[in-house]
Amino acid sequence: MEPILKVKNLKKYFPVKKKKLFERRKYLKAVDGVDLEVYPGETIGLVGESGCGKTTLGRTILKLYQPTEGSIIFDGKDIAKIRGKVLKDFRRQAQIIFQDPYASLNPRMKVKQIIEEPLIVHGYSRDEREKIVDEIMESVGLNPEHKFRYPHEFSGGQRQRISIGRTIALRPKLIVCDEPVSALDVSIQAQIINLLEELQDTYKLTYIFISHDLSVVRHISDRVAVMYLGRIVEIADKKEIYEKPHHPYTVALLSAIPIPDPEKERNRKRIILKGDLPSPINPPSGCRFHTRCYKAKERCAKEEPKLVEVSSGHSVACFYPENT
Amino acid sequence: MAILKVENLKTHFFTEEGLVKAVDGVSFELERGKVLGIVGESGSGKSVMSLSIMKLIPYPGRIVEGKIYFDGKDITQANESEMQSIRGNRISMVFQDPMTSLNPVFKIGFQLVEAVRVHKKVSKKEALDMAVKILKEVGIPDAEEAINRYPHEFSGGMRQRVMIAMALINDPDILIADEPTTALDVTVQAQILDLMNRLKEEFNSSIILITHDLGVVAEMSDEVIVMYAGRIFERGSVEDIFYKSRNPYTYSLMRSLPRLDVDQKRLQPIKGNPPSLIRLPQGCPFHPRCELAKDICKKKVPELLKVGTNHYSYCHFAAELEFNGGKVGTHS
Repeated sequence: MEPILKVKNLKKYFPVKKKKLFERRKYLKAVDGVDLEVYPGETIGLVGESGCGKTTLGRTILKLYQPTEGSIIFDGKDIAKIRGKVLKDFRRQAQIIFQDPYASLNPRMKVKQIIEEPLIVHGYSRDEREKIVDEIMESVGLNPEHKFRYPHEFSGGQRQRISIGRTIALRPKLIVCDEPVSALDVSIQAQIINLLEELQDTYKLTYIFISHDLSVVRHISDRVAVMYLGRIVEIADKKEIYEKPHHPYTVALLSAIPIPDPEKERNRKRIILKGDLPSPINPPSGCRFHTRCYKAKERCAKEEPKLVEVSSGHSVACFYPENT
Repeated sequence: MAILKVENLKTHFFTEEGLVKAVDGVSFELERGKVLGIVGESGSGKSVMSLSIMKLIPYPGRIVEGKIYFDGKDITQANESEMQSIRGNRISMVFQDPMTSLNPVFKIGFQLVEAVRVHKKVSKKEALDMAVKILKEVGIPDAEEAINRYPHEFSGGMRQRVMIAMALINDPDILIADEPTTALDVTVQAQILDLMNRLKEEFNSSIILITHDLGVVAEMSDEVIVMYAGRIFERGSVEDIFYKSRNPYTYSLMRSLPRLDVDQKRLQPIKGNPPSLIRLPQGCPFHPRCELAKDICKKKVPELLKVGTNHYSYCHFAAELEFNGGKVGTHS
């Protein structure tokens, strides 16, 4: 199968404000050379700690940020440099769901207007819009009779439903879900995750699912990519990565998550990483993870490991991988 | 003897929209050296309960009924100056957001010294030595240097360590940690939880850990309280709650979680939303969302029934039910 999205050597640097006049300009390397293929109908989970560049990667793929370098092939066309009408056409096929349903909906617009807006932008007639809004509200589990209400009249979970409705109104092929359940209560998270899965079946959607919650990602994804300081350090099928993680960072990340089962929890060995994420303005030499890695040797500080495929569909960027 | 005993505590907020019963008849005991986990969704009253123990309830709320015995003395009757000698000294608190709970304009050494000198008659020099010692204890590198830095010079995880250091510097009897790791990354969360576990043994403090994360509760707690709509829905040992739960809400909550260790085909969410505290449903506040609700649940408010040694459940059918939420999905 042909990938719907193919990202090659994608980079996104943000200039950092100079402190002195004649200082050399520094860059924050949020995404620093990412290769990624996404296949139609799959969900690819993008995980990592805050500051690892997962959100920037998601937004750069959607051209919400202009990439610094590299190519983004969507449906066979390179969209890295497109503008104007071509870009608008791309937007109709690739959409985003944001994390915070309180901040991402305009408080002065009614639900109908919110869901309708992308349809107006893309030139749908009034009758078509009426029909689509009702249909969408139904399919995201909202009562179409409530379409004249404002966002503040809804709970957090319902607001996220509105936001999802707006996203799927144009029937996009690819959706970047940027932490769509992180702001929601535990009992509501499952509702929204199930909704996303149902919509994926109904509308044949492809998801890039960004989250720091590895339990949620395990549930929803087909494949998982782990990011660290702007790079993908490991990517594999879900089953592979959770059962046989190769990269020490993935191993540590998985071991850090508490499991709601006291017995299991007591018998688990936890790998505690030292320190914090280093600054992406000045990333460590060699392997970027070597400063916190429990397996680091001399070579790791000098040479940078490449992302290589070690078994079918399982790639890792490490000289001394685990579980091999 | 229990270090803390809460009896029928009711903290209500008299808002313009109506009466909000944020905590409505809560009783529990906390033993020395134990960790009590309090879980609940937002609005369940878990934070208001901890603020009630500190008597830091914001306007328009107040404790309308109940007693809080700390070390045998009822502190609901204590005046402000008595409370001040308890807060930060014998009961201290760590908040969720380490960015906003430190004062940005003072060096952290100064803030730690202040925390000591409010309560103890020691010289600045001695207090500063204590500050360095406790910072080392919580794992801040170069503690001697660190006391001269401002909060913004630390990362989130380091700031939370400073907060924990400040909370522990007077060797409190009780440490209340309100979502101490929610704002942190998982690798940093693991560091902080590890630290809290170590310190518990070293200082023999009791810990009240408030969180919405059932994984954190399973890892840290000896006893667990599950709250919903201002009430205790279930209370018991961590094994009782996870393997022998007698409450449909506890079980529904566990069942709705995506798990790191288990494959699930479909998640089983709890239907509906948590209720508004101003307009609570009649009868059991959970009945509109409960799968097992019967007629009686709509009419009669349940009581907290004793179902085992130190195991209580707020449900009409507590005696007949038993759920194993900790092993959910493992067998299917």
